[in-house]
Amino acid sequence: MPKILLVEDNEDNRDMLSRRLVRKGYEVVMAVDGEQGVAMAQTERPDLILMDMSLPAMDGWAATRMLRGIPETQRVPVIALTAHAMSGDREKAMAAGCDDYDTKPVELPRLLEKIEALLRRRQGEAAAGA
Amino acid sequence: MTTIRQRLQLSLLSIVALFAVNLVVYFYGNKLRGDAIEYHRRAQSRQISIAGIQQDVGDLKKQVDLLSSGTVTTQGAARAEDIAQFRGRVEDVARQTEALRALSVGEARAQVAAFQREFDALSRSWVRFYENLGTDEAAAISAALEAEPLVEKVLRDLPRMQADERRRAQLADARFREVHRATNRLTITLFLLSTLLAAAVGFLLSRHLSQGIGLLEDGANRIGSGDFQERIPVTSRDELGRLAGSFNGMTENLLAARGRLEAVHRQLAERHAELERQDEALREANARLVASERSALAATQAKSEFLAKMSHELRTPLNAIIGYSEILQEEAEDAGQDAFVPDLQKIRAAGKHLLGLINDILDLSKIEAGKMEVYLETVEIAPTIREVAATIQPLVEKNHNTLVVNVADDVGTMVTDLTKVRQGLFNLLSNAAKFTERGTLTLDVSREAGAAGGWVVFAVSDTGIGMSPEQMAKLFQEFSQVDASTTRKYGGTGLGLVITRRFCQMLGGDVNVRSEAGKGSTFTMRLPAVGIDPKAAAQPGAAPENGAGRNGAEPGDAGSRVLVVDDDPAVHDLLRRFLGKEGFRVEGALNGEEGLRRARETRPDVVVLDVMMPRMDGWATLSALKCDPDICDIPVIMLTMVDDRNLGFALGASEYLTKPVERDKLVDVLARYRADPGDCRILVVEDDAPTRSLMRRLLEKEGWQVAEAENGRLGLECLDSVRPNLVLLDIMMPEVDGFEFVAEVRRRPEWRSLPIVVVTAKDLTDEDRLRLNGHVTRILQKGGYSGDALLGEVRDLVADCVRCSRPVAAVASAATAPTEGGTRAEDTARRG
Ligand SMILES: Nc1ncnc2c1ncn2[C@@H]1O[C@H](COP(=O)(O)OP(=O)(O)OP(=O)(O)O)[C@@H](O)[C@H]1O
Ligand SMILES: [Mg+2]
Repeated sequence: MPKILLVEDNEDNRDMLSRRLVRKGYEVVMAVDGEQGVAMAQTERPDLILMDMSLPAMDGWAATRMLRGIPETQRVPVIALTAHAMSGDREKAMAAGCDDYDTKPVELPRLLEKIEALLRRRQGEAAAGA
Repeated sequence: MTTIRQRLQLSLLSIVALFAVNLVVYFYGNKLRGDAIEYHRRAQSRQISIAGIQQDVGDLKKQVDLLSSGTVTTQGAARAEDIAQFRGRVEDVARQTEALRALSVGEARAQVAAFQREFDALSRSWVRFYENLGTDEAAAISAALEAEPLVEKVLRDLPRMQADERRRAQLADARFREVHRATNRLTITLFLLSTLLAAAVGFLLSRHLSQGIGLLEDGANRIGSGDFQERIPVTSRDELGRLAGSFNGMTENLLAARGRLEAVHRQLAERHAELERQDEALREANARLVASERSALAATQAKSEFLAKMSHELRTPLNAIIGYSEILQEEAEDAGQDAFVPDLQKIRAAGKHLLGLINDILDLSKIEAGKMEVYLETVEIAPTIREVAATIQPLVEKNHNTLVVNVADDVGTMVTDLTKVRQGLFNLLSNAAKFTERGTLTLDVSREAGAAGGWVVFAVSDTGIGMSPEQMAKLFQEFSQVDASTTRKYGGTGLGLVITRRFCQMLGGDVNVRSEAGKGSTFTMRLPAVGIDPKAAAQPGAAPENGAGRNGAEPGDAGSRVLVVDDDPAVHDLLRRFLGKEGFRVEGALNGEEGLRRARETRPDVVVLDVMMPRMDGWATLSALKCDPDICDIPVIMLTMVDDRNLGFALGASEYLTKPVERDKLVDVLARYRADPGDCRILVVEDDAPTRSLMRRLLEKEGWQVAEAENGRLGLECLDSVRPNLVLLDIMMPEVDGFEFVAEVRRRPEWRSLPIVVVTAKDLTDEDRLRLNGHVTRILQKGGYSGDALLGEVRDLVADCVRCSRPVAAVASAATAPTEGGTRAEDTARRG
């Protein structure tokens, strides 16, 4: 059962997304800001991180950059979530080291596709690495 | 006397006349002298002849005397021969006398005639005497007696005649002398007279001429020095007088002309003053306008920001509504509580609709606030269309429509902003679905040839309600639905098309519509296959009002770009017409500041600059252009009425043309600065021989000239001889590596703006990037690049570099691995 770390400050969003992901069969752990997200990424060792970009304390871009600098989390796929398809957000997210990008409100099927694609790739890498 | 010519002629004539008189006098004197001499000669010969006659008569008398006195006796009667002899001698005298008479004239002749008569009587007496001598003595003696007084008279007359002749000769002599003297005197007098006359005439004439010419000269000088009031005194009515007269006339004309000129000048000055006043007024109005524009802009921005914030705030709870209704729906389905599902679906749909509206408003306010950004990436067209069609499918089915999608096989990829294209397509398709019932929607996607990759055309047709021409006229206006009933019947806000059009324009394209009421509509999105810098598209003129008639200057056209800086819009028009035909793209700026800004933004191939402009004039603009290192290499052609070449060239102008513009000249000059993508030299600095030759082959296929260098040192060495327009640079090389190469190149002023593209297999660290940042145009990661992608990149860069001859914003490609602290090109692309 893949473990997903959801970093999201908005309680409603966190609640909704986590419930739906759980129903789809994922294990979900949650963080409410960037700092907590980075910490939990190290302790919880998730298979994938869903990162909201506008976060208090440390925003998603900074958090992602940080994750990329930590050996344990360097290879964990991160999907950036932003409120609206701001042009440039995507590029910014990719530049910060995210692997994919989606907009909120999430369209669950599309997000699931992205999640699964990244997990598959991760598995492939892991297999190759092993 | 009127003219000098006449005067001269007259003087000449008088001299000739005098000369003629002289001649006449001379000849006449000669004749008189001749006559006198002849007379003298005749008098002399008469004297001689008289003397001869006197001698003969004396002799005859002596003979008669002797005979009569009887001293000499003749035997008998005088012998017949003696008589004949005597008679002969008498006749001889008579002949002489006759000759004398012939010689004499007038009084002398009368004298001679008288003498002749006397001698006749005498001779007759004498002859009788002789005949009777010896025979009839008495008769002889009476004859002798008879002869006596006659002979006395004759001998008295002869000396008197002699004396008379002498007197006459003397008289003639005196006359001769007198005539001689008189003629001589006359000749001399006449000669002197004519000489004097000639001298006088010459003197007078020359004095008159020099005086007249002097006056003229003075007058001309004074008039020449501007004193048009001056008149030359007209002293005579001859040529000089006439000349002075016409001179005065000319002065009069000049005076009048000057008067007129001054009047025109005054008018001009007045006009100028008026223009200045108008200018002042305009400036004020302009300032007010700018101020109000600024406040309007500020207001718009504030409004837009407010809207953006509001939208965001609205969206957050809305997202919750939508999300929870979705969850509830899912959970209700799971729990078999199907009765709730339709209601939950409605909540969700209403929420989605509201969200759509809010998003539209947000988009629009962003566009208005100038904050809408364009992110260009390489898009595979066919899959995108598939995805869009799939997403729209439920909406299509809602009104029992069918969607037919035709994507041309060759459609390939395009560089564009995917989100905006998708949004545009969604809107067109949802409109088509909304306004069509039980019909067919068609989406045709095809390519269209054109400059810089051509166009991609998306056509959305439906068989729905369509629109009348009046309705179509209202399209594309904010919040305008073709009629109010639409809102009631179909919902919507009338923002979709506005946003679609604005998006298309940002990408360098446009949307057009063809529709017929009751039959259906076709909306066509036409986008450049290689999207352009939206900033440029947002410029006035670059984004046309509608799709019609936009064949001329296509954005992204590879033609050379000319920036015309002139305060006179007519000049822009003129140059646009002149140069448009020659394949130049003409952009305009109406003043120096704008010109500078445009030059920095768009980097034209050539700037055509006027001098006389308000505020910042051409000289100031030229110096500013030449002082800015980013744009100082753009050639500037001065095009002006002010002929001050030296200043122009001193300030760095490349050419200097004067108005009025000559088309051929201008085109000629501009042709020299035309960007020629064919003539492009690329230097490949790369140590790996196979890579090098691969690159050479790739580049040469494009028609570019390629030079190779094995390492940085060789690259630097051949820089001056190759003079490349672009360098493709490897980083890891022996001797001089890529970093050193870049540093060295940038140290040299002439190569400071040479575009360098790094193509490397090295995983560049942040530090590496920092070293290169700002110094190279682009960094391409080897391996991450297929030949085609590399070529595409390089082709873009070459087009840009050749156009601008320096590093410019390259079109960012999705294939580039974006990195922090990216190169300048990437930053620019991101900003754009
Ligand atoms: N395919 C079409 N057939 C007929 N009329 C159309 C079509 N597309 C647009 N229109 C007319 O143009 C108007 C404006 O369209 P637009 O997409 O801008 O707004 P809307 O669809 O009414 O609202 P929104 O898209 O903002 O929800 C529509 O209201 C409709 O009257
Ligand atoms: Mg619409």
